[in-house]
Amino acid sequence: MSEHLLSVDDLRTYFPTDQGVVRAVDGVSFDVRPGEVVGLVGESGAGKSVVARSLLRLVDDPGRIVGGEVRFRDRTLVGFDDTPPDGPDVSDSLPDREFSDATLSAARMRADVRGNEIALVFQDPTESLNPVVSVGAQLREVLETNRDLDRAAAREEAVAMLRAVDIPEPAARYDDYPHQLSRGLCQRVLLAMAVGCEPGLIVADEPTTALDVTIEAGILETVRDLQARYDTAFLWITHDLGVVADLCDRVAVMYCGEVVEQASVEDLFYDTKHPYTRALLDAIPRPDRTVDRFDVIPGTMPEAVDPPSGCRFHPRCPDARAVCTEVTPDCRVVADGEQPHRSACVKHDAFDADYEHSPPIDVADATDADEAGETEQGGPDDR
Amino acid sequence: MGLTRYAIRRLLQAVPVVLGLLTVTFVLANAIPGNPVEVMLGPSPSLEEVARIEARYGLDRPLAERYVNYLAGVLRGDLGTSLYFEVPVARKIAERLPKTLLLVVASYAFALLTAIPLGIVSATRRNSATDHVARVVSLLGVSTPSFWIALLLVLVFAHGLGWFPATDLVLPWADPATVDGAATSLGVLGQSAWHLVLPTVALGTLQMASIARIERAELLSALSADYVTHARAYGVSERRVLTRHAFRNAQLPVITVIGLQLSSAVAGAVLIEVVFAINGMGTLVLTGIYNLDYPLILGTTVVFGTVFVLGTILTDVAYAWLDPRITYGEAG
Amino acid sequence: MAGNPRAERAEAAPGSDSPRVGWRARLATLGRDRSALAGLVVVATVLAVATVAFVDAVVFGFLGEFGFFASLGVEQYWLAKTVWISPTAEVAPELLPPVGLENAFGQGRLAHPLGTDDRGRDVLLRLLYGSRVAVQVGLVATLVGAIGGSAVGAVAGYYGGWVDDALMRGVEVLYAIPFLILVLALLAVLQARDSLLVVTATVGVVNVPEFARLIRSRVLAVREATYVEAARAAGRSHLGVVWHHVVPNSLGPVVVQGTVRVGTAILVVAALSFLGFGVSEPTPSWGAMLATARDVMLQNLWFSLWPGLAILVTVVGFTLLGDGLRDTLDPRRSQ
Repeated sequence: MSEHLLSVDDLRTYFPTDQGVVRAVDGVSFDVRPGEVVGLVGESGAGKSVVARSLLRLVDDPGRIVGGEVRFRDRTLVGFDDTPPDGPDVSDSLPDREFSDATLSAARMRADVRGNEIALVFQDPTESLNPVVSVGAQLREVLETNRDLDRAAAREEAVAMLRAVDIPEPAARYDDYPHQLSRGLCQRVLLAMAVGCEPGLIVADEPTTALDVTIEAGILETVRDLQARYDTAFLWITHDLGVVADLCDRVAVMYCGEVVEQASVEDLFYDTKHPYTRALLDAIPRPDRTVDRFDVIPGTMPEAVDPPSGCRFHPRCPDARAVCTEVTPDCRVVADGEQPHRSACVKHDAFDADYEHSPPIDVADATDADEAGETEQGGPDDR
Repeated sequence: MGLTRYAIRRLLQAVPVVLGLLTVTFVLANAIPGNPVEVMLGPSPSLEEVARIEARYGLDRPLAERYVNYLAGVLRGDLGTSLYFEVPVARKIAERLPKTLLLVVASYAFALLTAIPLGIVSATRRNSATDHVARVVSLLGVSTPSFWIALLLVLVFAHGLGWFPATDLVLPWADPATVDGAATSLGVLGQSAWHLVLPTVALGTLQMASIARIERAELLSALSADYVTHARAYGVSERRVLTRHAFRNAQLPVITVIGLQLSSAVAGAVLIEVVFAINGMGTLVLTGIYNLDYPLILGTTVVFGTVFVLGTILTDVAYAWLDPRITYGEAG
Repeated sequence: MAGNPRAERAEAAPGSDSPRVGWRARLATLGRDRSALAGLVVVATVLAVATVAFVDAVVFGFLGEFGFFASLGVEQYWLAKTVWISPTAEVAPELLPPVGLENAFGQGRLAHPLGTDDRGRDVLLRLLYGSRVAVQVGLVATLVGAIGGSAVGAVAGYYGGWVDDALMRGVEVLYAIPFLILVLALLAVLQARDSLLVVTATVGVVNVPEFARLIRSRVLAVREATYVEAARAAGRSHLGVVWHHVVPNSLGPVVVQGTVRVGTAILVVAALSFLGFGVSEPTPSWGAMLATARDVMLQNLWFSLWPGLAILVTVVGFTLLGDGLRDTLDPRRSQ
């Protein structure tokens, strides 16, 4: 276990809303080893951003981490003394659970972990930077806080970091304000902040989603370069499987608050072991093929307030059987190898759920996509 | 530097506004039915009397000529002669302005010094008991007529407890000989402060409440902004997050509100001066209105309006100073 | 919060820029907001009282001028006189304290629960009837400001260019004169000190800038939006599209702003009647009552209390209601 840089075990983060408790992260487990790039993939609303924030205990009120464990190197960032196997009881409202004694205090989190050990790169660079402070000053502030540098040294280092992320004329850009820089440049500034803190792990939450593809390509190249140079591990959150293929060593796929498949990147693409991942891959349009219609996944991902019984994907799964409505599979190893391949689908032997003899059930198909529709009332979305 | 250019641009933009103001006041006085001459002389004046008054006040000239004369006069500082006081309006205004300015500045100071901490405490201890009390106080502050507060303050603290005087203001630079109960300049200062307390609180409460409310709302908004979460994600201390990031951004709309407050501060000053029998600009305007003293009414309106426009410009420049997007980027 | 995709998608949908929570859910939220409910109760009560007072004072007074109605006994304050006494009847001893207390002028009595004023008129009755002036001006002036301001803002935002500049300059000039001074000056110049109509119109005009800015920014935002171009490409007229999107989006903030402005307008009316403008004896008005209270402050301090409280409670009611409505109708702005 100590070989893992980051290990997340059964993490649960819930949000109370007027419509009920939103189980945005409902038992997520994965790990990241030193120096590797792990992708966290899923549709909008699957809970990926909430996972990212939960790692640093940045979940905003009224949401709360209510269960699970997060360990970074040998420290416990999130820990509870005991969690019921299906998560805490949330019938009425969120339980007020205290962290275990082993968990780092808020002060320690701030001083030791945030930035110095784990750095977060947010999605929207223009919103993440203070509009009335120059980018250089903000970068310098981050470096001062997380590295042992005085103001002057931090300023120098800030300019150096701006150069390192391929920002042209870094000394001049230091005094610019965020609105004077393009989105691509702003995102590089965020990267500079992350890398500048020399963390062991950088969590990047959809850093290139808001950028157009040519800019994105440039950023990815810079990231690859930085990774090679600093040997930082990355948790790369995205919904873009192309980026995953390009950048990641291992991948975890999330659906409706849970991890449904975890594997090395080759295994995920060439030996897919979960119908959802399969459907995601099939949905990617291929420029070398002409088709009459695209393979969309029928229906939409349910709101995390009232997930379907059993396997959460079963209403949209082409392989769904009756047993899928009863059994909620956890994400367990279904194929060993150099990298264990995990999947949360009962059709695998590891589950012993008698899938073969269960009758298939009717699910929504592509023509029913409109009827499935979105619910009128929505809970707050995962962040 | 962009800021100076911006300030100059705003000042230039203000010129047509002030011109518009002057025109509107001129039109109000001269082009509306209701002959000021009749007002002065009573109904059915004799023709000679009418002619005499008209010549004296230049009312027999064509409208356009009167307009030009009026504008020229304003530029010279000549706002006409008061019918009631029979002295130049400008002189009367100069006499009365200091006390009103003292009152308005003091109430602004009081409002800012109380409202900003109140707003900060409210936002940082959201939904705590302190916050609720602060919000109730703010709500009451914006909903209570200032002249009623003045009345109650006089009733309780002046007549009831006798802690403060019930009337008038003393200017801090007044001659000790003219001030009751003060032998030296220091004594005058003391008297000045003592007289200032109740009127300031009465006038400042509305402003304090407005500013506190918006301060709280803007801070809460700033505290939930992405760049704040971002700073926290990098381990920046909560104190720094508040002062360096949230506060600076929150102040921008607050500054706008402070500027808008000027209008109600002026209105409030009139009311407070009435309750406390202060002979400032407010009571001067009222005297003019009660006596239909047109030159006085217009003169005071013009002065009020100009001060207000200057105040707005000051606010805009302060805003631009804090927000780099205004001066560097395109307008709007 | 960053990366809220569903809300972002919902915001992009034409015709609605509020999070996709249903109307019923939002009304339910309002129902749970206790302070907003309190505001609603206060506002409803005041409106009810003011309406009755309006009917009795204005409608009956008007009808009573005509022979047909006069012969039926209809006259001003008919209701009050039937139930109790006229608010202008100077029947009782002057400056009595509220019931249960005693002062230099005598004992408080049940017939006059809040005491009497300097002319021996019942305070409670005058307080109730005083609401008529406040509400009348408050509502009408705000309505005038809202409609006029919306029109100005819509035209300015839609046509842009010099029309926009000219209109917004004009609005700025309006802002340039402190409103009380403007109202007073107008009243003086028009020699209409007692004209409630002039007061209403002026306060209405003073409200125009606020609403003009509100509508103008909405129109500008919609005009620039991409979906307008898309709709136009699909064949709909520019004006039609802008109208179709501006109106539903603006209704909410206008109602919110309007409700709060009614409270402000009531404060202005009170200030004006305190200074002696807008109403003349014997019409009851809260501000005028406070002016009298000031004169007799040393002799009967209770009299100072009630009109101020009435104003306070009424304005608080409107403000709370407005704040509560903001959460329902204009949820993008957080508190």
